[in-house]
Amino acid sequence: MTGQQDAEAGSTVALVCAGCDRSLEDCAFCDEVDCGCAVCYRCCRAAIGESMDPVHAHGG
Amino acid sequence: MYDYVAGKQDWVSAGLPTEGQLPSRPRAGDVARKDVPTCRVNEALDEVAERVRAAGWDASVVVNEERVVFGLLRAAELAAGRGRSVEEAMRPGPSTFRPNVPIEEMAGFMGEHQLHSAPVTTSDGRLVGLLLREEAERAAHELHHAATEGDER
Repeated sequence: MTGQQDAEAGSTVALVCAGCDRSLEDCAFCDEVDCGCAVCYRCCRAAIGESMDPVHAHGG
Repeated sequence: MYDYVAGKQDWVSAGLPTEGQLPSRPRAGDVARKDVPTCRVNEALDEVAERVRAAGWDASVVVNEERVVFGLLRAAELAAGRGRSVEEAMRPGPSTFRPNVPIEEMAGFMGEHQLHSAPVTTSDGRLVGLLLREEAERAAHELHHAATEGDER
């Protein structure tokens, strides 16, 4: 799905976040450009429990 | 009374003490090795590599005088060749993780991504330690084992 070498074309396939399909330059978890399970910064932080979704969707 | 201006999330992210049931569970900051060798960007790579290996490590974190993480030298970078500086060989700006990340999550992701080590820092980038995958997996396994035993009682 993401980032492996395209053997026929000999080029690197663009990375896509496994969580939200956003295009990436490298994996936000391991920093590798050819990660097989790449995630974006936002999905990574949410998945490892480092950030939390806002409790309220509104201001008050 | 003291107001921690950066907020509760930042307090927890810095690995500072908290109350409740969750603090008893090990987190990345608890398992990360505080004795990881560090070096500066202007040091010679050969000298750093020798020092790191003599200490029994295969990784070093590149920091400034305030222990803010600038880069990472894993085994491949440490073996990058003679006559180079740390700055030339390091992985600049590596992904870092906060001390409050649950160890099960870090262990799972490190296994999935085949990541040998991950720097743990405070939210302002100061080094807490280096989390090693085998130690994260061991801690997560022990936590799982303890939870399973607790369920059986």
